[in-house]
Amino acid sequence: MSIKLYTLFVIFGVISTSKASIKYPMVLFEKDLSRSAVFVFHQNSRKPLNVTLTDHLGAQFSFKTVKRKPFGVPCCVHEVEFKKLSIGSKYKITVEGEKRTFWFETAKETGKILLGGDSRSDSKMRVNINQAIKSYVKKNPDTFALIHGGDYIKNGWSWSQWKCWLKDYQTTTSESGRLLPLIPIRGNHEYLSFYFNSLFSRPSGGIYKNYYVTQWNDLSFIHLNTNLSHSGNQKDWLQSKLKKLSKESKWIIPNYHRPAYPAVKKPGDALRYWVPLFEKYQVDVVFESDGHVYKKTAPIFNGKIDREKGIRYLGEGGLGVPLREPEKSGEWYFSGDGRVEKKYHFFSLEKRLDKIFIHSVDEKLNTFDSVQLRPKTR
Amino acid sequence: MNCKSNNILRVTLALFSLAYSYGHYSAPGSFSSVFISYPSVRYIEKYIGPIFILLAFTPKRYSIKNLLLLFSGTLLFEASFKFIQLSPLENLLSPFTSAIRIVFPLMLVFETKLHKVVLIACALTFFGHGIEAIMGAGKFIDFFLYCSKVFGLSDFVNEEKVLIILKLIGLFDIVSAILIFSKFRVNALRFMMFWGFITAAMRLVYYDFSLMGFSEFFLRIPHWIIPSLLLFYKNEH
Repeated sequence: MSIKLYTLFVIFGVISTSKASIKYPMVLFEKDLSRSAVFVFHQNSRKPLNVTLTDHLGAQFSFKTVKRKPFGVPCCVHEVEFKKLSIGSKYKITVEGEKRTFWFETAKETGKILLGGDSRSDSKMRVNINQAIKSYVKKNPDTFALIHGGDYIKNGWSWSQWKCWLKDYQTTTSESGRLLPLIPIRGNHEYLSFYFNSLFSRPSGGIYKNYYVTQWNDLSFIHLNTNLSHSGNQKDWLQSKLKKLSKESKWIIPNYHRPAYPAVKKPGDALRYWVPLFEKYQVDVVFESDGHVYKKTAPIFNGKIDREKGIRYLGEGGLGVPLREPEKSGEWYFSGDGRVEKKYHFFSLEKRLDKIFIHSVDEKLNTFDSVQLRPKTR
Repeated sequence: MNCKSNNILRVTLALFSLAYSYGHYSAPGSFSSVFISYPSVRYIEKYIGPIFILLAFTPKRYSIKNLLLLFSGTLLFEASFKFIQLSPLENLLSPFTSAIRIVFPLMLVFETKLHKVVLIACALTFFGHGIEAIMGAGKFIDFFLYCSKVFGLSDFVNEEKVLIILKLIGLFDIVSAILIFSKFRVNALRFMMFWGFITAAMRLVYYDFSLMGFSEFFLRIPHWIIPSLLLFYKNEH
């Protein structure tokens, strides 16, 4: 009897002390697609773990993770920041106690980045889109990241829903372990959700911020937070950034959740406060989410269609969310070559030296629409 | 409830229903979100509003009880659906912030029998808005900043100051929601009437007296009319 008990204790001890493999590994980009990244994963170890980063020349760099225990999340979220990375390099990641290895690639001067939003409320469809994204990245290996326009899940305060989203996002990881880095912004379903910052490494600060610029060589993505005041500090920040970037960057692309030129709902306050700034500083194109349809507006300037100075608004979220009827398809801003459709989609932004192509891709990887941009004179 | 109060209530219901109809006509609501796979539900949701406007003009001798119950039930369903989603914060607080709107149509049927329920609804509405203000809801900040610009106060007001003001107002809202059940009921109701009107009128200014502005104003008309009626009722007795 005592031998059996002893054996059970030993087995239990071995199980409880052995390290489980890591869960939900993810790379996040914030400030620079080419120079820095954050690697986040979940592991039940309460101690910091060793992470090794190997560059394409075989040089190895060691890091210790910083662990956090967000409320409601089983211990622990481990995080490590990689700085001073090289442009267009492959980096292999190995984690202490983990058999699998992962890798990601920093952005080159040219290449592709994916954009989309609204992946809530339908895990099955979300996985379908994620698999389509994975296939797309496999066919287009110069794709560096996905910019998510918000509304990842229905209830931003539910860990079980976040867990499901994190699990589903793993379907974008290739068989060889290539991670698709994520650039996250907040949607209305993440309003005041502390999980957003806990899981995505607090892009640009606390709950009341989360607006920031991501630089990709001469392209600046301006990520805005439509949950906050549109006219207060965020507008001042936007104005100062646009003023600076309009001189420094060849391309400026704002990205936020609630649309200024909607295809389904009423216009958000972006129309009143941000659109005049976009027009003043002549941004190249704007990405929006929230409507659960595909949309491409005609080029708009000063409330009218303008082929010269007009800005197109693309969106409006189709990464798996149940789709809506595009009720505002008759609006003036969808006339001409504007388009609105009930369709699952993501955008592939292809940056070349002097041009940008934005391809609209459906879940079957058909490119059903595209936009070409040339640098604007500002 | 006398004839005058009844007429005020009917006008309130008519204007509120008008705003409700406009809101549901111009953007999808809770019903179409629940039944997203059934486009016909959206069609019904879009055009059902005018029926509720007619309710306000239906003579009392006709049995409008069931239709008013249906209207309140519809509003309760919408608030509950938003609550079930739990996020964002305004959805979570929806059963609180919508309480007056859900209850007031029933006053036409049950009249003063609902007195205590209406008091609780007022308290819940102001409590919910108080929490939203304390949390620093972005839209409230925008309303304040815009209105201060319209009234030439923009040099003295910025986001940080508005956040402090909102916290104070939120506190007042919560205190008034509590005091409504105490001997200070009259003062609490006076505050609700005053502040309910100001916040509704703020929407008119914010949307430059446009159709959207009137819709937002009328949607909040019960927030100050109902405390006024409760005050009136209190004075009468």
